[in-house]
Amino acid sequence: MASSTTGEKKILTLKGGDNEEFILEESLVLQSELLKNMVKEERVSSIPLPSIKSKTLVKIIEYLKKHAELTPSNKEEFKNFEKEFVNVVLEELLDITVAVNYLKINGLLEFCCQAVADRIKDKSVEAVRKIFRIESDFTPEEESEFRKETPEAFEGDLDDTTN
Amino acid sequence: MASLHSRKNGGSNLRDSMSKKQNNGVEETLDRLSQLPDALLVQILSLLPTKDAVASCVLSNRWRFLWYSIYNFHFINSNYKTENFIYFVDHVLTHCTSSKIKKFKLDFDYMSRWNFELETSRWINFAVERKVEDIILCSDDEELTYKLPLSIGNCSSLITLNLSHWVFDKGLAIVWNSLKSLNLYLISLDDDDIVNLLSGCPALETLELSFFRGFSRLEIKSSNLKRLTLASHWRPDAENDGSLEIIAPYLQHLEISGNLYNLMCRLVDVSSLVNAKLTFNNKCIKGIGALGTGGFDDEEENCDYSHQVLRTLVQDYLHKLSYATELSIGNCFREVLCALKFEGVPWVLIPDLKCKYLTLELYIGKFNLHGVAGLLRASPHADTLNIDIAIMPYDSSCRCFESKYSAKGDNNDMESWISSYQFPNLKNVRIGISVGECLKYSFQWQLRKLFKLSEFLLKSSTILEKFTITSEKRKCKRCSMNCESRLLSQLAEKLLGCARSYANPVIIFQE
Repeated sequence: MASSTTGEKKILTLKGGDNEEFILEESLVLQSELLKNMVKEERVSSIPLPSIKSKTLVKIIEYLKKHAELTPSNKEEFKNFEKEFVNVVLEELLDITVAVNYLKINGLLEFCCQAVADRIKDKSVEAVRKIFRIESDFTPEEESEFRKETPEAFEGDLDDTTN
Repeated sequence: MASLHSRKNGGSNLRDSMSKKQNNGVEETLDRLSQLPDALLVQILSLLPTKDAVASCVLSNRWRFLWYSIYNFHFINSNYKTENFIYFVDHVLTHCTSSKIKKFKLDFDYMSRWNFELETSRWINFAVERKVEDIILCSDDEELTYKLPLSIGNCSSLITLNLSHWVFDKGLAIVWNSLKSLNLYLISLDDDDIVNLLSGCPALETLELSFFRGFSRLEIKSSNLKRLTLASHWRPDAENDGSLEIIAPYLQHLEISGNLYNLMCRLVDVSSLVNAKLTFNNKCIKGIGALGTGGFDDEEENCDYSHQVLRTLVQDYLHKLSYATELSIGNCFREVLCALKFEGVPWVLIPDLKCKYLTLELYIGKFNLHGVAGLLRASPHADTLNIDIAIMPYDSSCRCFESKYSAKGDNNDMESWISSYQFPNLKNVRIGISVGECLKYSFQWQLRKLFKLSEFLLKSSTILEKFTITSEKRKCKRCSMNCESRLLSQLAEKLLGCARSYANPVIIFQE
């Protein structure tokens, strides 16, 4: 199927998990290695992305647009946008991270991973378990044994809160 | 991070935990993080300080060995006993399964009183063997300077190198063919070191030296090196006569900032400059004398002399910078332009700058208005003007300049000289306070000065569209009020009430 065009700009449709459609310029999605390959090699004009929620897709498209507008003079504004972009509830951040990983948008992926890492940084093991709802499958004896392997990793001023 | 290392528990455990939940009839496990693929979790762990990445091993079985695959290392020794720190780093590196290291960072942020040379050599060698791309080594320890191992000279995988308080051997054979960015902090290099260094980094794009000393010539022959930053001279030393020549015909971005003491930087060839920031301060020789590096018999004479040198230098800068489109300039330009005018130097001797985007970093001082007027007069093409005000305690190191001209500055000639100015291209003006001291005792004085300056700009800019006053919300530590914001909001109010120019600009107060 040939891509539809308006003027010089090629138009592409992305279909989110709940069948919602997003129409955007093809040039925008080239930041995604996955979509770039699909567009360039298979010449499709509509791409279903059933594993990505529409809400997540909206966020990602918003990012792609902002990123495409990035110039040396609005760098600061873009940085603020990025900060706000990952300032979302954990569930949503993980949705975005997984989707960006799937779409292979490498710059954004590193940024999302950093945002997840920032929620782990300087936290105690207990706090990290609470934040991410990780259930330990170790016995207390096992855990204290592992802690003894590298006691330095568990020393220092660690934050016990889940904020 | 495509390659993953097979381990006893890793993959199978993920399936276990998922099927367990499905058996319970729960569609989605709550622990979303642990469900992410190994590569993604390793990427996340690699972005943490290594200590936190290692601590993840007790979260659950899923996490037990993930940290073995991290490819960035960031060790900070602030919380450890030295021998524990060494044990920890050794333990982590022995278990590292990554064949390629991206980033290796060591932070020694306290007085360790321990010479790590043997250990740091071992660790850095490890990183070099694994084709490390970014090395960042920091130390705040004033007593000790750490030395890089010889192996680093051959590290052709290096892309960025940041060293603070680390040195390399004189004559180290440097083959950093991929190095793009080099950042050295607290560094003493002589002219030969500079030549050796630059010839070893043919791909270098960015060079940043902070608290530097020892060299008097910086010649950049490579056309790849586009960006140079020199920030603060590291105390004057006896060997240096206080001059530095910069020859960099391909350089596009130049920044010289901070305190240069008596160092006079001369720009011999910077003919490709697009963007320049010259906001350094020179202490006049009188000020240096007071630092105890040698006294002068006739202080006043020496003070005059150093201002004279600076004056010649700044005039030369204006010629060298005349083609740059973006300029940030500091106080010494203001002083010099003002002095030139007082001494009746004709304008034809001051070149027109091509600059479109002009930033001025100023102290509010006696001759603010004259200096700014002079600078704008010299930049007729500027369409955007940013003024960053630094409110400083009075600098007592040199009052000669101000007292010398104070009589002249107040006379009416000056006022009429200024009021005849027009800035035909200026569209945007922004004023803000970048460095703030408490304004409690100088509030009215500062307000008067700022108002005078703003009023002058409003009156003289014929096509001005926007006049923005930006204020950051920060509480003053001294008076525990937001004195800065109060000043700027009063300024905005006053301006709204004052007579406008021919144009009718919008006045905006941003908080």
